[in-house]
Amino acid sequence: MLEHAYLIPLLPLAASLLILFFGKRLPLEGAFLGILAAGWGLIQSIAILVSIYVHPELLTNAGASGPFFEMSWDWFSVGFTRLEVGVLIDGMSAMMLAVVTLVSLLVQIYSVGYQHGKERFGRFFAYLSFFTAAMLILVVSNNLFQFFMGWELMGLCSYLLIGFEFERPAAAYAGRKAFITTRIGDLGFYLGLLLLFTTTGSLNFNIIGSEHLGTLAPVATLIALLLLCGTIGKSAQVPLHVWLPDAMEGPTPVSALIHAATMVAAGVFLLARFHFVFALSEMALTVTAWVGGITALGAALSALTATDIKKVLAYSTISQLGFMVLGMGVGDPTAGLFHLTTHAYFKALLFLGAGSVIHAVHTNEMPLMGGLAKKLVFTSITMGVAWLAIIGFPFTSGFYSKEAILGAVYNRHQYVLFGIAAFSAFLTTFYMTRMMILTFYGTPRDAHRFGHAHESGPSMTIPLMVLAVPSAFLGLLFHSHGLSFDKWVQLTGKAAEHTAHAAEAAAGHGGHYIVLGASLAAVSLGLVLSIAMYVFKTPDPARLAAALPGVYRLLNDRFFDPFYVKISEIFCFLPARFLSAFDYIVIDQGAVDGVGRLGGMLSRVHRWWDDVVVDGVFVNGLGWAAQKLGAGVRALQSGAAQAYLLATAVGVFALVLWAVGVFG
Amino acid sequence: MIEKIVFGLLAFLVVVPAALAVTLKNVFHCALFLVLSLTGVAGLFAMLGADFLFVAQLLVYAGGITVLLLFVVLLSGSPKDWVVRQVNAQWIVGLLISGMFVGLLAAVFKQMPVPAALVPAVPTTAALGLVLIRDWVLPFEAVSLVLLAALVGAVHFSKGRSR
Amino acid sequence: MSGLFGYLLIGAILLALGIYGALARRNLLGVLIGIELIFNAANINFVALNRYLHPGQSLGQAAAIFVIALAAAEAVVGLALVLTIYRNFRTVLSENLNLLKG
Repeated sequence: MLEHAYLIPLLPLAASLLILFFGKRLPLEGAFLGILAAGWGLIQSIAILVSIYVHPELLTNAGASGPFFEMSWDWFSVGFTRLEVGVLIDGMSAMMLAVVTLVSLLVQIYSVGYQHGKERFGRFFAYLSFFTAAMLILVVSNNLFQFFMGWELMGLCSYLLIGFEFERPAAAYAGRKAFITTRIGDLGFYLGLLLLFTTTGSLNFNIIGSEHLGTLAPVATLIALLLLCGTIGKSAQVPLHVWLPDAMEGPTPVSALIHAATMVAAGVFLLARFHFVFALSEMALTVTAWVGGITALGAALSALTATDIKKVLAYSTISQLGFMVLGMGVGDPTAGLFHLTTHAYFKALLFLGAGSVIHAVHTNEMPLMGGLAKKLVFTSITMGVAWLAIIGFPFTSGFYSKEAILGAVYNRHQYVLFGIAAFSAFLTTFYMTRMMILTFYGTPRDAHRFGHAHESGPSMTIPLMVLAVPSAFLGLLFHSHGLSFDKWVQLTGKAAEHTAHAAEAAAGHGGHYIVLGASLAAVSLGLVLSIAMYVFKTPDPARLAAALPGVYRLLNDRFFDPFYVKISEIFCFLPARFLSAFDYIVIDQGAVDGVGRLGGMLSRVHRWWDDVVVDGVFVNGLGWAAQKLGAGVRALQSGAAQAYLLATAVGVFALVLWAVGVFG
Repeated sequence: MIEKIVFGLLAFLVVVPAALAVTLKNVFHCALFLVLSLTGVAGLFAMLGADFLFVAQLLVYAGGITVLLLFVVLLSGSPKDWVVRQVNAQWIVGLLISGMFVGLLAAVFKQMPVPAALVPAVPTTAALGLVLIRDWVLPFEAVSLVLLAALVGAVHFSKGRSR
Repeated sequence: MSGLFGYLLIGAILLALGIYGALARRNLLGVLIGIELIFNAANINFVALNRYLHPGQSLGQAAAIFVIALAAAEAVVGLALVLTIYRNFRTVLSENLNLLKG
């Protein structure tokens, strides 16, 4: 199984190409090809997971991130550098494979129902498969170059999928915004990558991790911070988070796949893969942790007042990603990856469920919903499961993963960040509960929509049900089997020192109870306050908003966007206007017209020359001279014989003179 | 002595009418004075001992050519033409040239060697005949051809347009 | 005025007069008259030089005979020409005969 791991990214790639070229002729426009490819990928991923669990010795090599299995093919050589494509299977990548393939499969099955009757049905699946292939290429890559390739391809797919309904200007704009914003992060990432390569001379992860750590030490901070830029862009951290709320313009399955489970998680995965670099620099880790913490808090605050159901989920995603990055930043990649895995499942479930709700009532706005639990049974129940997971309700997967992160932060003695994280958890509970109440509970606020609402078909509800399982039980699975996520993921040999358990042991069990208490408090307080405000209307949210307009505006407005627009205006439009003016004045009028005018002047000179000198002097002049000469000579031909005679007489006279010797 | 006087008279007879012949307005008068001059030339020939030439000159020139000339003078134009101005535009130049010719030739002739005393003249007819027939027969025949040609040409000219 | 020089001088004078007549007369017949004078001047020269410088020979006189013959021919042709001209152009003034002008 491991030897054929390369099939996992290749099959979706092939599927996407087949759908693109032959989709029109196939039943369902080729959607089943994508589903089959993802399905096979899932089966193979699970097989790989099981086999490396049962036979750890299959991971033959020991590396910087733990034991791994690697296969590599030469691609091409540039100078003295060999570029390769390869497959790297270790605990991290095996886990990610399972996540990506499962979510991709379920989203594609869901899309068969959701996209039914919509424009470009087949192409949607081609893009989804292509995206899956790109993500998988990134996950299994064994070298920087392939990693970056997958990264960029995902950016492209994100653009294509967000702007899938490009007839709507908002969607087209959102797609562009996503691509350009992540591109800015990618620039930093690429510079970090280049610096890494020039410092170590190799692109292969394990070669760098094992042989060249020493050379990295002086530049580790710079490299780590540059790599962090990539994460900030791709995983929507502050300040490059602005694209994700707008990305909700894309179809809901896209949001579920890309902006919940996979693409945004790639940034976190990046931090995990390169953790051995971050581990060399305290400063980089600190910066990472604070970026994560601020993002978690800021996004949670923005979610409090959002009325669009997908926007709530978008801010929630940003916030949860902040949690993951925070976990990475305090030196516990395990916790971060664990939360990534659980989040992938319950967030995908939440999005797909939201899609089902939107499909039923034909609106995203929660003020127009209410009481839908009666009508959308499956949806409400499965979304309820995901809700419990995301708020960290005890024994759900989310509970375990969030507690892992909070524990990691506390055990590193980052008490301020701990406070921020705990408060963000409280806010998460609050707004997610608010969302559920507004959507499913109470009396319907729009009777017409409520009347027409009906549960979605099986192609949409079955994925929901499937996703509910890991959302509920994944955490329990690990704990009950005495497994820790550590054993599954088996991160860096050195990072093992930073694992949650080791640090926890150092901090002692007291820390454990404080963390537990904090997370339980967050959940319960959030529940109580949310139910109080939205079920019992004490205090009434509307009156609260009216009473504190400044606070409301602070929570509701988007601050970063106008700032970015201003920046782009300064750096793009002003130079563009300057260049345009330059082009017009200097180049067009000056150079081009100037050349033209010069040509005109030269031609006038030339004309003068031609008229006066050539025509006048030479042509006409010669004619005049010839005429005058001829006239002169003609005068000799007077026709008067005596004139000729005179000439003859003169000649004779001259002859006589000569004959007598006057001329000597 | 006598020679000198006769020579002088003859010279006068030659030069003065000649001068008049080229100066007078009335071309008829010019022709008449030409006759006179030519007769004087014949006399000069006689003085030089060229007896045959003397006769030939009188017969051909004074008798034939000038008569012809007179005929043509009378045939062409009316007497009123004989009173118009006779010199054309370039007469000064002509005068100049003539003067120069005379001057030049006189200067040249002055330098010629003075010959010895004259041998008495002998009749020349027989000698001339011999020269013409024996030594210079080709030019003689050629001249006769020329005369023939001139004759034919003159007849052709005088015939006028053929109808 | 020695003998030879006198004859030669007369010849020269006649030549000059003849040239003047040929060049300066308007009437064609006047021109012909001048030409006749030139012929005679030549004749005088021939005969005089023959008598004084080559007494035994008679080439000079023969030449003079030739000249007379040719002069006759020339006079005939010339006069025929004048007649023809008069017949066609009604003029014998040389300045009116400029068809070859140009």
